[in-house]
Amino acid sequence: MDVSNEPKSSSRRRWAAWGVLSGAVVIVALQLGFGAYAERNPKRKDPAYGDKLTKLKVRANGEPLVVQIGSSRTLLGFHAGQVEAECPGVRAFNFGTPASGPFANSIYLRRMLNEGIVPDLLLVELLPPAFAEYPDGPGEQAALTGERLSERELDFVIRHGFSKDKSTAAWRESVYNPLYTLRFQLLGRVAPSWLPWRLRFDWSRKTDPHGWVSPLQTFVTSDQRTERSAMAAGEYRENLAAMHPEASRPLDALAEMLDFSRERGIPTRLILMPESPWFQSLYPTGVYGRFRDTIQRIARERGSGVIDSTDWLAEEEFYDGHHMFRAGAENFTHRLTDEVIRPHLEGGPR
Amino acid sequence: MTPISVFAAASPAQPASEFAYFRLLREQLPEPFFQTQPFLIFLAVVAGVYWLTPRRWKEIRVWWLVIASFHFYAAWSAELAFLVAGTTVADFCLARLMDRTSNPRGRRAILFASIGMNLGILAYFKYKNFFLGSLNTMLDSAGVPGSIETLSILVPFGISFYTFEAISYAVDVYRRKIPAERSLPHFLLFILFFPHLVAGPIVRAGDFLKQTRRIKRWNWLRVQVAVQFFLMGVFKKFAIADRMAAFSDGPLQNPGEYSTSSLWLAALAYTLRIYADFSGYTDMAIGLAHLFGYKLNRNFDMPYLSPNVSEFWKRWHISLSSWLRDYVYIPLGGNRGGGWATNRNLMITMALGGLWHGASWSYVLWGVIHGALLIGHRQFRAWCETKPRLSAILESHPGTVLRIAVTFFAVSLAWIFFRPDIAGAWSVLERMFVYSPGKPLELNNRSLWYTALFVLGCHVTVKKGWWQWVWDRTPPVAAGVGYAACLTLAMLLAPPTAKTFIYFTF
Repeated sequence: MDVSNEPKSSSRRRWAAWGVLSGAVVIVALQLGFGAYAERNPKRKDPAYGDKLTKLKVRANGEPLVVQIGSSRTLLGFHAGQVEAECPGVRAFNFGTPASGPFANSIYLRRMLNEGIVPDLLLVELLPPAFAEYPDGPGEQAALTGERLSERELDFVIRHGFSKDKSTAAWRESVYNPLYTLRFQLLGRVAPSWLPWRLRFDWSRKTDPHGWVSPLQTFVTSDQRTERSAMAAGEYRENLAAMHPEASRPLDALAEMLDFSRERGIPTRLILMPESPWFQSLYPTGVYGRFRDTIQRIARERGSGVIDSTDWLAEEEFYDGHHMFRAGAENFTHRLTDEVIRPHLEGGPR
Repeated sequence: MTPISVFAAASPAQPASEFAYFRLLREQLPEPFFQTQPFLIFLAVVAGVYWLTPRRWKEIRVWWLVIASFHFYAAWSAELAFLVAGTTVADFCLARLMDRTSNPRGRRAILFASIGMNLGILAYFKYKNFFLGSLNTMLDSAGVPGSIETLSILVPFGISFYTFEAISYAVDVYRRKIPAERSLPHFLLFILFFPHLVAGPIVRAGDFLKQTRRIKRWNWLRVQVAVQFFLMGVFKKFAIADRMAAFSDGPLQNPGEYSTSSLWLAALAYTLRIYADFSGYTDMAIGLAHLFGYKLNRNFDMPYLSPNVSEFWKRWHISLSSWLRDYVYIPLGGNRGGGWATNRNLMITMALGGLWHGASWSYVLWGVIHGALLIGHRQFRAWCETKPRLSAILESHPGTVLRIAVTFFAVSLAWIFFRPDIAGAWSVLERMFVYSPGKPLELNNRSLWYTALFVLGCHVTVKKGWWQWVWDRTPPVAAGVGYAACLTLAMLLAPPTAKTFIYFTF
């Protein structure tokens, strides 16, 4: 490369000008073009959602459709394939994605409906730690960051107390500088092995056709259980202490979602997922009971219901007190099918 | 998140400034890093005003760059910016005085005053705690109770670079290689010019000062070369250096946890990282200087393709190695005093070169290892001269590949000591050569191998002249697409945690 300071011929200077200017035009076009494209295609911003949606579209073939949305508890616990086996003629799908609380669930439901997928029974997991609320907003904003959202969804979360500055800044970066901001989402599609596990965004490709995934392990030693339980306690204790069981913005968002699904005529049930006795001991005294009462009231007022499966499973059916092993998932799903899904589909009109 | 927010987390602690003006400045330009958004805004303003200033006002342009460079540094630390500017003015005055003095003893006294001031500042800020720490260790081992308290002082960014520039200037004026600069703003720009202020290349007054006197004309070719160098630096930093850090940091910091194979891979990653990090910074600096019409000398010339260590030092950090040659090795006697003296001079020069990098014994050891390698190469070369068949084999194509591989291997092993933690470095080496079970690397090895092959491919492409051949025939729009692709790849491959440039700490 020539770096001399001497002026060169005018044709060479023209060449340089065209090179620099065309490079600037191309990079600006790439950024703005991809930003606009990602804004219209949420699965580019949120690949886990995209993978789930792709699989859900395959399952939604006109037969009665049961969908459970929720967090990693749902992802590991709701064995949708088993529901189909136990209820012939029914299609079931697990729409669990890690760290999803009432805001993500609400957004995913709206996106699903926009894609023309209307469940005949919608099961919505209630993840208690996701109902934490801090002075700067709901705890869920740590996971549901602005770059995952579209502008309309951004309005929704800000209206419910997400930090306007942080969420808007992250969203803006995803629109105007998407090649950097959404790089893990992009690279995770093309070369996932180049990224650390936590940034790969490709785990959702590895679920079964019903969206369910199960740990390879079938049991843990007592040492492993202690270690994982300590990790879970470290992760959730603060959130559980920050729950406001009677009134909070996450509860408002849940109520709004139930209103929305009622308007659309979607039968909806809320589920308190199984937790081991040890995990239940992490709640501050009385909080879980008051939380349960509140959501029962919210559901009752909106013609919905709450399935309280908190005590359905034993300690050994979890690997960390709230994420199920395969056996736990099978037991949970069997009982859920027997007590909720089958009676609803057999008995109740939509 | 943009590069700035990433780098904010990685920036070192900043000193407190008293004045509101400098506090405000720091808020606008939080760290003196080239690849951040605030810096790019700063650059756009500085370049805009510079080129809009009529070229007949070239002194105004020089003053503008001096002011901008001062602010660039003052945004990080106003006190230290005044210190650097103050010593620069002192160096200017001492050199002028030296130029006017005809008495050799007086000239020598002024030279020593200038060198003493620069080395004193360097010793105080960079080496004081190192020396005190070493003294404490000696007192401890001698059983002397108590210890001397070390100081918590901030090491000015780039101190090793600009003190060497000032010293070389004083020596060159003393040797009458160059006249003392008559213009204070020109001299201030020589030392403070922001592209090279923080991490070089180490600029020689003879090369730079004559450029300050030239009238600079706006030229798209200049911009194109600047953009090209800058993007190349950004790519090296984001897509290679910081990615390689993800492979090397864990194993080199906690070698006891990792397996032997992981440590070998980490050593390879560290070797690539150091090169991409420093040459990436240098590329950015050269590009930025070029944007203002200044040419900084090349600092790297594909050093990892060197067939021997002596050649490596002609291609690695050229501005430092040539400085050490001209101002340490040759004044010590160079190779004029026979084998033993030459080896001694080589060892002293390399040990000082190691110490220049960091105030730690591990850097000294790194320099000593390179000194030993240079001496070993010298002896081997002399021995080979008596063995014509062996020389011919080594000069053949396969022999050259073998020599490059051996040199790369030796240099890579030596890099393990290129960190402040000498005990950790020994532990890494021990586990590399004694089979040890342990953790694998956190990231899949594939991307490390692909990166290594990519770097090798780029070197071979440039070395064979294929790159230049293609470039000469590239239509401008294709070149533009290439620039965009380079920047896109750099952004896509940037890891979650960006790192400060390694050489910023020297």
